[in-house]
Amino acid sequence: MTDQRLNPADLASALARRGSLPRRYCEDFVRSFFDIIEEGLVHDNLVKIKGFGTFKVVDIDARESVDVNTGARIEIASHTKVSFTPDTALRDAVNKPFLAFQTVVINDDTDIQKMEAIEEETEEPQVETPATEEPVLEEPVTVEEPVAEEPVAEEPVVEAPVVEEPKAEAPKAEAPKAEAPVAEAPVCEKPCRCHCFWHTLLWLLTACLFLILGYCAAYYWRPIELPTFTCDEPATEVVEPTTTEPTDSLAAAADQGAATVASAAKNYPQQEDGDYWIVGELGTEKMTAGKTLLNMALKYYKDKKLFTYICTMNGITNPDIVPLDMELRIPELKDKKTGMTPIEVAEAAKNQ
Amino acid sequence: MNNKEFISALSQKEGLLQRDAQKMVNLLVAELSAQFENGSTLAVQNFGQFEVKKKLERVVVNPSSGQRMLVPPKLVLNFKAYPALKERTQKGGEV
Repeated sequence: MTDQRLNPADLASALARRGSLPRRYCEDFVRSFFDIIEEGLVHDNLVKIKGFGTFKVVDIDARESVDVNTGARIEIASHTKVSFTPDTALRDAVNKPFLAFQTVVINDDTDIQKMEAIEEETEEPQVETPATEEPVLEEPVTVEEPVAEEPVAEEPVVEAPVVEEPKAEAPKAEAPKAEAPVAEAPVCEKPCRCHCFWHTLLWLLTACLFLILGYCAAYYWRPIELPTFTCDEPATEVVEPTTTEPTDSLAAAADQGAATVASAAKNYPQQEDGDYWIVGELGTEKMTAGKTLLNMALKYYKDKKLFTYICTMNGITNPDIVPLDMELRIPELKDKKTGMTPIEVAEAAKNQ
Repeated sequence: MNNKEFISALSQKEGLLQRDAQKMVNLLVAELSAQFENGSTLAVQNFGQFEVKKKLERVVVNPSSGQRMLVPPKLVLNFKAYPALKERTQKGGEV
């Protein structure tokens, strides 16, 4: 275990080595990485990063407590706390040495105090053996296959696995009296059984591997059918036609609005089966790295599904391929029925 | 801010394509994971500290059944925010 203390610069150089990238660039990237997390925390109170974890700003209510020095009652004011929950993958990776362990039910007749006494006894020699963190962490692995690694169990040095024996197995076998000499006997018996077990496990694993490989091969050999979006896809229909039953006067006004909208719509390319007419231009936006059509739709209409209208307006047939630096015209949209903009439609839907 | 929004913000700041930004993030996360596996501690100025802590095994009791369980020891990744970050999130929460 390399118990190092790292700073972002160390991390950046490690990253540069791993990805064979320029160091300067990595430093910059690492800094941005944490900056953006902070920005997200300040604005959204929540940042999720796949494979890493979730940062959250948690509110903590005011509570009463006692001053440790004076014993007087004090109130801890409500405040916020930044919490971090690692992703399952990361959590398991960090906990790798102990991953084999599971919570065990202790039988009622097991005497914990006796177990602890045994632990204390056996822990002493353990400290005398090379007392770095290493052996302690390796233990859980060796509990499963104490013999596979060191079949010479007679040596008194291999007391480490024996130490674990009473701890892990005592609950199951009612053997609080699992003292060292008794526990040593089963250790010597185990080798052949263990070997059999590991062999079958190995075979099973290879069989599984082949199955998975076969499945993957079958999956990828199928002719690749990319879901090509075309601009006249009726994706926009999801916007609910909630405003279909307004009151009479509203309906009349809406009809009028719709009529003027329809006339204005003639000057622009239209999307036949959508809910909106394109009636004008809100402006232009340059396609640069990091931007997407969905982002733009979100920015202008607060609804990313409406990106198809940007495609229609600019004659883009495949929204997955938009050339860099292309000037995109952002269409102004009006609902075909009510003449409202997408943002108004969304608000109306929310109010209902 | 979910993963997608995070990647999008990062790519705009760095001037990367989103695809490349995601790749870089994956690489960084893999590196971080490898470092934490080794038990390293990462301290980022003005942000916080990531540290791997060891939790000892303990016995817990199920209050309804009275059953006792032995919870195994584990290594947990811990994050501690520095005062600078705390202050800023506090302000952000008030707005």
